[in-house]
Amino acid sequence: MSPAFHIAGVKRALDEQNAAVQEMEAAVNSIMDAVERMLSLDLNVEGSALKVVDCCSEIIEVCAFQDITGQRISQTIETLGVVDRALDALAGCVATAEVPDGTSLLNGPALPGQGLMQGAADDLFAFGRKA
Amino acid sequence: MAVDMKMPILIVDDYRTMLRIIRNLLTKLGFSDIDEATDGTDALTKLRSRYYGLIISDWNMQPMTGYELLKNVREDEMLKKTPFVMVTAESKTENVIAARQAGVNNYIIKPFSGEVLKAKLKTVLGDF
Repeated sequence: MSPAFHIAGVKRALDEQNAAVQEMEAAVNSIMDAVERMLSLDLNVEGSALKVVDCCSEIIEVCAFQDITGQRISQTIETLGVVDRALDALAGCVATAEVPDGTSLLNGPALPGQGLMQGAADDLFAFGRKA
Repeated sequence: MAVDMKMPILIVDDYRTMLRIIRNLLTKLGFSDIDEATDGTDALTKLRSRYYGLIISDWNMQPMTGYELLKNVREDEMLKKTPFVMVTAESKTENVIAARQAGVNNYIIKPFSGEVLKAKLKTVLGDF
């Protein structure tokens, strides 16, 4: 396993796990906030049903964290698989261990602060349309 | 021209949770005919079996990615004009450019809100 893979692969896996933990915590907090808002509603007050619907919609949106964290964890599992094969190779169980090529467009979710925000993607998209 | 809120929409994602989220958001926006596929291959089979007015697809799926699905759709004489919105966690510049060059109509980065989805669909379909 090359030093470059160690940095790009294992370090990224650690960052992915940290990001996943933070995103899960944020999602659970958002869900609990919405539930607490619903529990505090006086259902006899006009308009409270709409507030319940809004809270439910918010919970549904927040549940997208499962997709994002799932992708992060899948990437980590993939990296662990490479590490496992590399360790096997070191132990003489197999001759070589494959290191994934990093040029694919399948990068998964960006780490916090590293990917494009929606606004930047919109600008890029609009620029591409004019080109 | 008014958007046909009854037009069939195909949503493609390998995460059941995300399919449910997008289905719920579309229902809240007023769309009623929503079908699902769990990867590009499944989506292509469905797209060739009936008419869909819009495709909303994830990128990162196996065995056929959303990007490959997009290219297949744009190369297919019957499907090539179908509006295609990519909804993905892939948020690198090269991804947006590649999708744009392949003919995607809009690009939404996960996680996203119902408001963002509505705004992008208005850009693609017109006001509703």
